[in-house]
Amino acid sequence: MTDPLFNGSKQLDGIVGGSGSQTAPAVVNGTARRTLWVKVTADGIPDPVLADDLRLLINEFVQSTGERREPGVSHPDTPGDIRIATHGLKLDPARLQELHRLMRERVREHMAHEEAEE
Amino acid sequence: MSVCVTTNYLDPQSIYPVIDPHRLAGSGPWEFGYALALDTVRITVERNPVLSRCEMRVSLTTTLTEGKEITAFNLFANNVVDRIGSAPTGVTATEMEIFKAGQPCEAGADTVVLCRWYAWPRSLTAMYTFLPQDFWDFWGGSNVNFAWLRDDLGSGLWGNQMPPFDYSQETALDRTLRWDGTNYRVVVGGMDFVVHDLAYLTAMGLDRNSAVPWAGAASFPADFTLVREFSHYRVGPIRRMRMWIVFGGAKFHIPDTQTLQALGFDPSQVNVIPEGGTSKLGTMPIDGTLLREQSSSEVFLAKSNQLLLVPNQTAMERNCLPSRLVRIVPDRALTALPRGTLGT
Repeated sequence: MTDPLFNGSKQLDGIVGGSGSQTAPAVVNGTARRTLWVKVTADGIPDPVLADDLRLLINEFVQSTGERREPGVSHPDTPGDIRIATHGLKLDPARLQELHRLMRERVREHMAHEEAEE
Repeated sequence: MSVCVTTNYLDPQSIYPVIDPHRLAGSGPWEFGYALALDTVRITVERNPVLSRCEMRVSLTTTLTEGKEITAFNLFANNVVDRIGSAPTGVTATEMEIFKAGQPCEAGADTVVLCRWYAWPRSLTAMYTFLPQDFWDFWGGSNVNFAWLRDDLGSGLWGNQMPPFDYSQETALDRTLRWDGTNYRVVVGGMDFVVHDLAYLTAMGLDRNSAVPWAGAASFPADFTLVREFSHYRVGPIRRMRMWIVFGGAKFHIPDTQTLQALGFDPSQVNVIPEGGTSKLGTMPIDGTLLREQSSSEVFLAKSNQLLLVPNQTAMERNCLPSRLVRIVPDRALTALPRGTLGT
Protein backbone atom coordinates (compact mmCIF):
# COMPACT_ATOMS: atom_id res chain seq x y z
CA MET A 1 0.00 0.00 0.00
CA THR A 2 1.46 3.35 -1.00
CA ASP A 3 0.36 6.95 -0.73
CA PRO A 4 1.92 10.14 -2.11
CA LEU A 5 2.11 11.56 1.42
CA PHE A 6 4.41 8.78 2.47
CA ASN A 7 6.73 8.82 -0.52
CA GLY A 8 10.07 7.50 0.51
CA SER A 9 8.56 5.21 3.10
CA LYS A 10 8.61 1.51 2.49
CA GLN A 11 5.37 -0.32 1.77
CA LEU A 12 2.81 0.46 4.46
CA ASP A 13 0.56 -2.04 6.20
CA GLY A 14 -2.19 0.51 6.73
CA ILE A 15 -2.95 4.16 6.16
CA VAL A 16 -5.11 6.44 8.26
CA GLY A 17 -6.35 9.52 6.42
CA GLY A 18 -4.08 9.04 3.42
CA SER A 19 -5.96 9.78 0.26
CA GLY A 20 -7.65 13.14 -0.10
CA SER A 21 -4.78 14.89 1.59
CA GLN A 22 -4.71 18.61 1.17
CA THR A 23 -2.59 21.59 2.01
CA ALA A 24 -5.52 23.78 3.05
CA PRO A 25 -5.99 24.33 6.75
CA ALA A 26 -8.06 21.63 8.38
CA VAL A 27 -11.68 22.43 8.98
CA VAL A 28 -12.31 22.11 12.67
CA ASN A 29 -15.74 20.84 13.50
CA GLY A 30 -16.69 23.12 16.34
CA THR A 31 -19.89 21.28 17.06
CA ALA A 32 -18.19 17.98 17.73
CA ARG A 33 -19.48 16.54 20.99
CA ARG A 34 -16.89 15.89 23.59
CA THR A 35 -16.72 12.31 24.76
CA LEU A 36 -17.06 11.54 28.44
CA TRP A 37 -14.37 9.02 29.23
CA VAL A 38 -14.63 7.12 32.51
CA LYS A 39 -12.19 4.61 33.92
CA VAL A 40 -12.37 2.68 37.18
CA THR A 41 -9.64 0.54 38.62
CA ALA A 42 -9.89 -1.47 41.84
CA ASP A 43 -6.47 -2.33 43.22
CA GLY A 44 -5.13 -1.52 39.78
CA ILE A 45 -7.54 -3.81 37.92
CA PRO A 46 -9.91 -2.12 35.47
CA ASP A 47 -13.63 -2.54 36.01
CA PRO A 48 -15.26 -1.61 32.66
CA VAL A 49 -18.78 -2.50 33.85
CA LEU A 50 -18.65 -0.10 36.78
CA ALA A 51 -17.03 2.52 34.53
CA ASP A 52 -19.93 2.29 32.11
CA ASP A 53 -22.41 2.51 34.98
CA LEU A 54 -20.71 5.63 36.32
CA ARG A 55 -20.64 7.19 32.87
CA LEU A 56 -24.41 6.87 32.68
CA LEU A 57 -24.77 8.27 36.18
CA ILE A 58 -22.58 11.29 35.36
CA ASN A 59 -24.37 11.98 32.08
CA GLU A 60 -27.72 11.87 33.84
CA PHE A 61 -26.47 14.06 36.68
CA VAL A 62 -24.90 16.68 34.42
CA GLN A 63 -28.07 16.98 32.36
CA SER A 64 -30.36 17.12 35.40
CA THR A 65 -31.61 20.49 36.61
CA GLY A 66 -29.71 20.26 39.81
CA GLU A 67 -32.45 19.35 42.28
CA ARG A 68 -30.93 17.79 45.35
CA ARG A 69 -31.87 14.28 46.17
CA GLU A 70 -32.09 13.02 49.73
CA PRO A 71 -28.79 11.47 50.59
CA GLY A 72 -28.94 7.72 51.12
CA VAL A 73 -27.20 5.90 53.91
CA SER A 74 -24.09 7.88 54.62
CA HIS A 75 -20.74 6.16 54.74
CA PRO A 76 -17.74 7.74 56.39
CA ASP A 77 -15.09 8.31 53.76
CA THR A 78 -12.01 6.27 54.31
CA PRO A 79 -9.09 8.30 53.01
CA GLY A 80 -7.57 6.63 50.00
CA ASP A 81 -10.46 4.20 49.81
CA ILE A 82 -12.23 5.59 46.76
CA ARG A 83 -10.40 8.33 44.93
CA ILE A 84 -12.24 10.32 42.31
CA ALA A 85 -10.83 12.72 39.74
CA THR A 86 -13.36 14.51 37.58
CA HIS A 87 -12.00 16.78 34.89
CA GLY A 88 -13.90 19.14 32.66
CA LEU A 89 -17.37 18.73 34.16
CA LYS A 90 -17.80 22.46 34.89
CA LEU A 91 -20.06 21.98 37.93
CA ASP A 92 -20.21 24.33 40.90
CA PRO A 93 -18.51 22.98 44.02
CA ALA A 94 -21.75 21.94 45.74
CA ARG A 95 -22.99 20.03 42.70
CA LEU A 96 -19.59 18.45 42.20
CA GLN A 97 -19.58 17.34 45.83
CA GLU A 98 -23.03 15.84 45.37
CA LEU A 99 -21.89 14.02 42.24
CA HIS A 100 -18.86 12.61 44.04
CA ARG A 101 -21.13 11.40 46.85
CA LEU A 102 -23.39 9.62 44.36
CA MET A 103 -20.40 8.09 42.57
CA ARG A 104 -18.95 6.82 45.86
CA GLU A 105 -22.31 5.29 46.74
CA ARG A 106 -22.47 3.57 43.38
CA VAL A 107 -18.92 2.23 43.73
CA ARG A 108 -19.67 0.86 47.21
CA GLU A 109 -22.88 -0.78 46.01
CA HIS A 110 -21.03 -2.37 43.12
CA MET A 111 -18.18 -3.62 45.30
CA ALA A 112 -20.61 -5.04 47.87
CA HIS A 113 -22.46 -6.82 45.08
CA GLU A 114 -19.19 -8.20 43.69
CA GLU A 115 -18.17 -9.50 47.10
CA ALA A 116 -21.56 -11.14 47.60
CA GLU A 117 -21.19 -12.87 44.23
CA GLU A 118 -17.80 -14.36 45.10
CA MET B 1 -9.57 -2.09 48.37
CA SER B 2 -8.29 1.02 46.68
CA VAL B 3 -10.45 2.38 43.90
CA CYS B 4 -9.53 5.05 41.33
CA VAL B 5 -12.33 6.69 39.40
CA THR B 6 -11.28 8.96 36.54
CA THR B 7 -13.57 10.98 34.35
CA ASN B 8 -12.45 13.28 31.64
CA TYR B 9 -13.97 14.86 28.58
CA LEU B 10 -11.79 13.86 25.66
CA ASP B 11 -11.74 16.05 22.61
CA PRO B 12 -12.83 13.85 19.67
CA GLN B 13 -11.08 16.20 17.24
CA SER B 14 -7.73 15.08 18.55
CA ILE B 15 -8.48 11.35 18.79
CA TYR B 16 -7.28 9.26 15.84
CA PRO B 17 -8.00 5.59 15.15
CA VAL B 18 -5.56 3.01 16.49
CA ILE B 19 -4.92 0.34 13.85
CA ASP B 20 -5.26 -3.12 15.35
CA PRO B 21 -2.30 -5.21 14.11
CA HIS B 22 -4.05 -8.38 15.29
CA ARG B 23 -6.40 -7.94 12.33
CA LEU B 24 -3.56 -7.80 9.80
CA ALA B 25 -1.53 -10.53 8.15
CA GLY B 26 1.83 -11.67 9.51
CA SER B 27 3.61 -11.11 12.79
CA GLY B 28 4.94 -7.65 12.02
CA PRO B 29 6.58 -5.28 12.48
CA TRP B 30 3.81 -3.23 10.94
CA GLU B 31 4.25 0.20 9.37
CA PHE B 32 1.26 2.50 9.48
CA GLY B 33 0.96 5.82 7.72
CA TYR B 34 -0.95 8.44 9.68
CA ALA B 35 -1.95 11.50 7.69
CA LEU B 36 -3.05 13.63 10.62
CA ALA B 37 -4.75 17.01 10.27
CA LEU B 38 -1.58 19.05 9.70
CA ASP B 39 1.16 16.47 9.97
CA THR B 40 2.34 13.17 8.55
CA VAL B 41 3.61 10.45 10.86
CA ARG B 42 4.71 6.89 10.25
CA ILE B 43 4.05 4.58 13.19
CA THR B 44 5.90 1.29 13.45
CA VAL B 45 4.47 -1.31 15.81
CA GLU B 46 6.67 -4.26 16.66
CA ARG B 47 5.80 -6.95 19.18
CA ASN B 48 8.32 -7.12 22.00
CA PRO B 49 8.27 -10.50 23.76
CA VAL B 50 10.09 -9.04 26.77
CA LEU B 51 7.27 -6.62 27.50
CA SER B 52 3.95 -7.54 29.10
CA ARG B 53 0.83 -6.16 27.45
CA CYS B 54 0.66 -3.61 30.26
CA GLU B 55 3.93 -2.12 29.00
CA MET B 56 5.04 -0.29 25.88
CA ARG B 57 8.29 1.15 24.59
CA VAL B 58 7.61 4.41 22.79
CA SER B 59 10.17 6.23 20.67
CA LEU B 60 10.29 9.32 18.49
CA THR B 61 12.39 9.97 15.40
CA THR B 62 12.31 13.13 13.36
CA THR B 63 14.60 15.39 11.39
CA LEU B 64 12.16 18.31 11.31
CA THR B 65 13.37 21.70 12.48
CA GLU B 66 10.38 22.49 14.64
CA GLY B 67 10.38 20.71 18.01
CA LYS B 68 8.18 17.68 18.51
CA GLU B 69 7.24 16.03 21.75
CA ILE B 70 5.33 12.91 22.73
CA THR B 71 3.94 12.96 26.23
CA ALA B 72 2.69 10.00 28.22
CA PHE B 73 -0.46 11.26 29.89
CA ASN B 74 -2.25 10.15 33.05
CA LEU B 75 -5.87 11.18 32.92
CA PHE B 76 -6.52 10.81 36.67
CA ALA B 77 -3.82 13.32 37.52
CA ASN B 78 -4.58 15.15 34.26
CA ASN B 79 -0.86 15.40 33.89
CA VAL B 80 2.19 14.25 31.99
CA VAL B 81 4.03 11.28 33.53
CA ASP B 82 6.85 11.04 31.00
CA ARG B 83 7.94 12.70 27.78
CA ILE B 84 10.25 12.28 24.84
CA GLY B 85 11.15 14.94 22.32
CA SER B 86 13.35 16.23 19.56
CA ALA B 87 16.27 18.54 20.26
CA PRO B 88 14.55 21.96 19.91
CA THR B 89 12.18 21.11 22.78
CA GLY B 90 15.05 20.64 25.21
CA VAL B 91 13.81 17.13 26.03
CA THR B 92 16.78 14.87 25.57
CA ALA B 93 15.14 11.43 25.74
CA THR B 94 13.83 9.97 22.50
CA GLU B 95 12.61 6.72 24.02
CA MET B 96 10.46 5.95 27.05
CA GLU B 97 9.04 2.82 28.58
CA ILE B 98 5.53 3.37 29.82
CA PHE B 99 3.06 1.19 31.68
CA LYS B 100 -0.69 1.22 31.69
CA ALA B 101 -2.24 3.52 34.28
CA GLY B 102 -3.99 1.87 37.18
CA GLN B 103 -2.38 1.77 40.60
CA PRO B 104 -1.68 4.10 42.29
CA CYS B 105 -4.13 6.39 40.55
CA GLU B 106 -1.54 8.95 39.42
CA ALA B 107 0.95 6.38 38.08
CA GLY B 108 1.23 5.08 34.55
CA ALA B 109 -0.08 6.37 31.28
CA ASP B 110 -3.55 6.19 29.80
CA THR B 111 -2.42 7.33 26.36
CA VAL B 112 0.19 9.42 24.56
CA VAL B 113 -0.23 12.90 23.13
CA LEU B 114 1.68 14.11 20.07
CA CYS B 115 2.69 17.73 20.57
CA ARG B 116 4.28 20.46 18.43
CA TRP B 117 6.51 23.21 19.70
CA TYR B 118 5.33 26.07 17.56
CA ALA B 119 7.92 28.75 16.87
CA TRP B 120 5.40 31.52 17.40
CA PRO B 121 3.74 31.86 19.80
CA ARG B 122 6.45 29.81 21.39
CA SER B 123 4.57 27.11 23.18
CA LEU B 124 3.93 23.43 23.28
CA THR B 125 0.62 22.51 21.68
CA ALA B 126 -1.07 19.15 22.14
CA MET B 127 -2.26 18.03 18.73
CA TYR B 128 -3.15 14.38 18.42
CA THR B 129 -3.94 11.46 20.69
CA PHE B 130 -5.54 8.02 20.81
CA LEU B 131 -8.39 6.48 22.79
CA PRO B 132 -6.84 4.88 25.89
CA GLN B 133 -8.63 1.53 25.51
CA ASP B 134 -7.63 1.12 21.86
CA PHE B 135 -4.12 2.40 22.47
CA TRP B 136 -3.37 -0.25 25.09
CA ASP B 137 -5.52 -3.09 23.70
CA PHE B 138 -3.90 -2.91 20.27
CA TRP B 139 -0.36 -1.69 20.90
CA GLY B 140 0.33 -2.88 24.46
CA GLY B 141 3.40 -5.15 24.69
CA SER B 142 5.03 -3.55 21.65
CA ASN B 143 7.73 -1.16 20.62
CA VAL B 144 5.95 1.77 19.03
CA ASN B 145 8.01 4.21 17.01
CA PHE B 146 6.60 7.52 15.84
CA ALA B 147 8.54 8.87 12.87
CA TRP B 148 7.33 12.44 12.43
CA LEU B 149 7.85 12.89 8.70
CA ARG B 150 6.22 16.21 7.84
CA ASP B 151 4.69 19.16 9.64
CA ASP B 152 3.71 21.11 6.53
CA LEU B 153 1.24 18.65 5.07
CA GLY B 154 -1.42 16.36 6.42
CA SER B 155 -4.81 15.03 5.43
CA GLY B 156 -6.67 18.09 6.68
CA LEU B 157 -8.83 15.73 8.66
CA TRP B 158 -9.19 15.86 12.42
CA GLY B 159 -9.89 12.74 14.42
CA ASN B 160 -13.66 13.20 14.46
CA GLN B 161 -13.63 13.58 10.66
CA MET B 162 -11.57 10.46 10.13
CA PRO B 163 -13.41 7.34 8.94
CA PRO B 164 -12.79 4.18 10.95
CA PHE B 165 -9.86 2.15 9.70
CA ASP B 166 -10.98 -0.29 7.03
CA TYR B 167 -9.65 -3.76 7.73
CA SER B 168 -11.15 -5.15 4.54
CA GLN B 169 -8.11 -3.73 2.74
CA GLU B 170 -6.35 -6.84 3.98
CA THR B 171 -8.59 -8.98 1.82
CA ALA B 172 -8.84 -6.50 -1.08
CA LEU B 173 -5.96 -8.27 -2.81
CA ASP B 174 -7.48 -11.71 -2.38
CA ARG B 175 -7.25 -13.82 -5.57
CA THR B 176 -4.47 -11.60 -6.90
CA LEU B 177 -2.14 -13.76 -8.97
CA ARG B 178 1.61 -13.24 -8.69
CA TRP B 179 4.59 -14.63 -10.53
CA ASP B 180 7.90 -15.09 -8.68
CA GLY B 181 9.90 -16.17 -11.73
CA THR B 182 9.31 -19.86 -11.02
CA ASN B 183 5.82 -20.25 -9.65
CA TYR B 184 2.47 -18.62 -9.67
CA ARG B 185 1.24 -17.55 -6.26
CA VAL B 186 -2.25 -16.57 -5.23
CA VAL B 187 -2.97 -14.11 -2.43
CA VAL B 188 -5.45 -14.98 0.32
CA GLY B 189 -5.79 -13.00 3.54
CA GLY B 190 -2.53 -11.13 2.90
CA MET B 191 -0.46 -14.30 2.46
CA ASP B 192 0.35 -15.96 -0.82
CA PHE B 193 0.16 -19.65 -1.65
CA VAL B 194 2.23 -21.36 -4.35
CA VAL B 195 0.16 -22.84 -7.17
CA HIS B 196 1.61 -26.26 -8.00
CA ASP B 197 -1.28 -27.44 -10.15
CA LEU B 198 -2.30 -25.16 -13.00
CA ALA B 199 -5.75 -26.77 -12.93
CA TYR B 200 -6.30 -24.59 -9.88
CA LEU B 201 -5.97 -21.46 -12.02
CA THR B 202 -8.46 -22.81 -14.55
CA ALA B 203 -10.94 -23.84 -11.88
CA MET B 204 -10.64 -20.48 -10.13
CA GLY B 205 -10.95 -18.55 -13.39
CA LEU B 206 -7.54 -16.93 -12.90
CA ASP B 207 -5.75 -15.76 -16.02
CA ARG B 208 -2.01 -16.37 -16.07
CA ASN B 209 -1.57 -13.23 -18.15
CA SER B 210 -2.96 -11.19 -15.27
CA ALA B 211 -0.14 -12.25 -12.92
CA VAL B 212 1.84 -9.39 -11.41
CA PRO B 213 5.44 -9.62 -10.20
CA TRP B 214 5.80 -11.14 -6.75
CA ALA B 215 6.72 -8.53 -4.16
CA GLY B 216 6.84 -10.49 -0.94
CA ALA B 217 3.98 -11.33 1.36
CA ALA B 218 3.16 -11.84 5.02
CA SER B 219 4.21 -15.04 6.75
CA PHE B 220 0.62 -15.93 7.60
CA PRO B 221 -2.88 -14.69 6.77
CA ALA B 222 -4.88 -12.21 8.79
CA ASP B 223 -7.14 -13.40 11.60
CA PHE B 224 -10.58 -14.57 10.44
CA THR B 225 -9.25 -15.81 7.09
CA LEU B 226 -11.24 -18.87 6.05
CA VAL B 227 -9.68 -21.41 3.71
CA ARG B 228 -10.16 -24.79 2.16
CA GLU B 229 -7.83 -26.56 -0.25
CA PHE B 230 -8.52 -27.07 -3.92
CA SER B 231 -8.94 -30.73 -4.73
CA HIS B 232 -8.21 -31.87 -8.27
CA TYR B 233 -11.02 -34.15 -9.35
CA ARG B 234 -8.79 -36.21 -11.66
CA VAL B 235 -6.17 -37.10 -9.06
CA GLY B 236 -7.25 -39.74 -6.60
CA PRO B 237 -10.53 -39.73 -4.70
CA ILE B 238 -12.34 -36.48 -4.08
CA ARG B 239 -11.46 -35.60 -0.53
CA ARG B 240 -13.82 -34.09 1.92
CA MET B 241 -13.33 -30.34 1.64
CA ARG B 242 -11.96 -29.46 5.05
CA MET B 243 -12.47 -25.86 6.11
CA TRP B 244 -10.14 -23.97 8.36
CA ILE B 245 -10.15 -20.64 10.13
CA VAL B 246 -6.89 -18.81 10.86
CA PHE B 247 -6.07 -17.07 14.13
CA GLY B 248 -2.58 -15.98 15.12
CA GLY B 249 -1.20 -17.73 12.04
CA ALA B 250 -2.56 -21.13 13.12
CA LYS B 251 -5.33 -23.06 11.43
CA PHE B 252 -8.34 -24.42 13.27
CA HIS B 253 -10.55 -27.03 11.69
CA ILE B 254 -14.20 -26.22 11.10
CA PRO B 255 -15.99 -29.56 10.94
CA ASP B 256 -19.11 -28.54 9.02
CA THR B 257 -21.13 -25.70 7.56
CA GLN B 258 -23.36 -25.52 10.64
CA THR B 259 -20.33 -24.80 12.80
CA LEU B 260 -19.09 -22.26 10.28
CA GLN B 261 -22.41 -20.45 10.44
CA ALA B 262 -22.57 -20.71 14.22
CA LEU B 263 -19.22 -18.91 14.30
CA GLY B 264 -20.84 -16.09 12.34
CA PHE B 265 -19.53 -16.83 8.85
CA ASP B 266 -21.03 -17.68 5.52
CA PRO B 267 -19.76 -20.46 3.22
CA SER B 268 -19.14 -17.86 0.51
CA GLN B 269 -16.41 -16.37 2.71
CA VAL B 270 -14.31 -19.53 2.51
CA ASN B 271 -11.36 -19.05 0.16
CA VAL B 272 -10.17 -21.91 -2.00
CA ILE B 273 -6.38 -22.11 -1.82
CA PRO B 274 -4.04 -24.33 -3.86
CA GLU B 275 -3.64 -27.93 -2.80
CA GLY B 276 -1.11 -28.27 0.02
CA GLY B 277 -1.66 -24.64 1.04
CA THR B 278 -2.82 -25.42 4.57
CA SER B 279 0.52 -27.07 5.28
CA LYS B 280 1.98 -23.55 5.29
CA LEU B 281 -0.25 -22.68 8.24
CA GLY B 282 0.84 -23.52 11.78
CA THR B 283 -0.95 -25.46 14.47
CA MET B 284 0.13 -23.30 17.42
CA PRO B 285 -0.78 -19.62 17.17
CA ILE B 286 1.80 -16.94 17.79
CA ASP B 287 2.40 -15.62 21.31
CA GLY B 288 -0.28 -13.29 22.53
CA THR B 289 -3.18 -14.90 20.67
CA LEU B 290 -6.30 -15.29 22.84
CA LEU B 291 -8.62 -18.20 22.10
CA ARG B 292 -11.81 -19.73 23.39
CA GLU B 293 -13.77 -22.74 22.21
CA GLN B 294 -17.27 -22.00 21.05
CA SER B 295 -19.18 -23.68 23.91
CA SER B 296 -16.66 -22.99 26.63
CA SER B 297 -15.99 -19.94 28.76
CA GLU B 298 -12.32 -20.86 29.27
CA VAL B 299 -9.93 -18.40 27.63
CA PHE B 300 -6.40 -19.41 26.66
CA LEU B 301 -3.37 -17.28 25.94
CA ALA B 302 -0.82 -18.64 23.49
CA LYS B 303 2.66 -18.29 24.90
CA SER B 304 5.92 -20.18 24.27
CA ASN B 305 4.21 -22.97 22.32
CA GLN B 306 1.61 -23.56 25.02
CA LEU B 307 -1.96 -22.50 25.62
CA LEU B 308 -2.10 -20.94 29.05
CA LEU B 309 -5.49 -21.02 30.76
CA VAL B 310 -6.47 -17.55 31.94
CA PRO B 311 -8.24 -18.47 35.18
CA ASN B 312 -10.71 -15.60 35.41
CA GLN B 313 -11.63 -12.10 34.29
CA THR B 314 -9.44 -10.59 36.99
CA ALA B 315 -6.43 -12.35 35.49
CA MET B 316 -7.45 -11.04 32.08
CA GLU B 317 -7.55 -7.47 33.35
CA ARG B 318 -4.43 -7.79 35.50
CA ASN B 319 -2.44 -8.97 32.48
CA CYS B 320 -4.01 -6.33 30.20
CA LEU B 321 -5.53 -9.05 28.00
CA PRO B 322 -8.42 -7.48 26.10
CA SER B 323 -11.61 -9.55 26.01
CA ARG B 324 -12.38 -8.13 22.59
CA LEU B 325 -9.32 -9.86 21.16
CA VAL B 326 -10.47 -13.33 22.24
CA ARG B 327 -10.98 -15.41 19.08
CA ILE B 328 -13.61 -18.13 19.07
CA VAL B 329 -12.77 -21.50 17.54
CA PRO B 330 -14.91 -24.62 17.08
CA ASP B 331 -15.31 -26.96 20.05
CA ARG B 332 -12.43 -29.40 20.49
CA ALA B 333 -10.20 -27.33 18.18
CA LEU B 334 -7.83 -26.67 21.08
CA THR B 335 -7.79 -30.20 22.51
CA ALA B 336 -4.52 -31.31 20.94
CA LEU B 337 -2.50 -28.24 21.91
CA PRO B 338 -0.20 -28.33 24.97
CA ARG B 339 -1.58 -26.59 28.06
CA GLY B 340 -0.41 -24.56 31.01
CA THR B 341 -1.90 -22.03 33.41
CA LEU B 342 -1.32 -18.32 33.51
CA GLY B 343 -0.53 -16.91 36.93
CA THR B 344 -3.14 -14.58 38.43
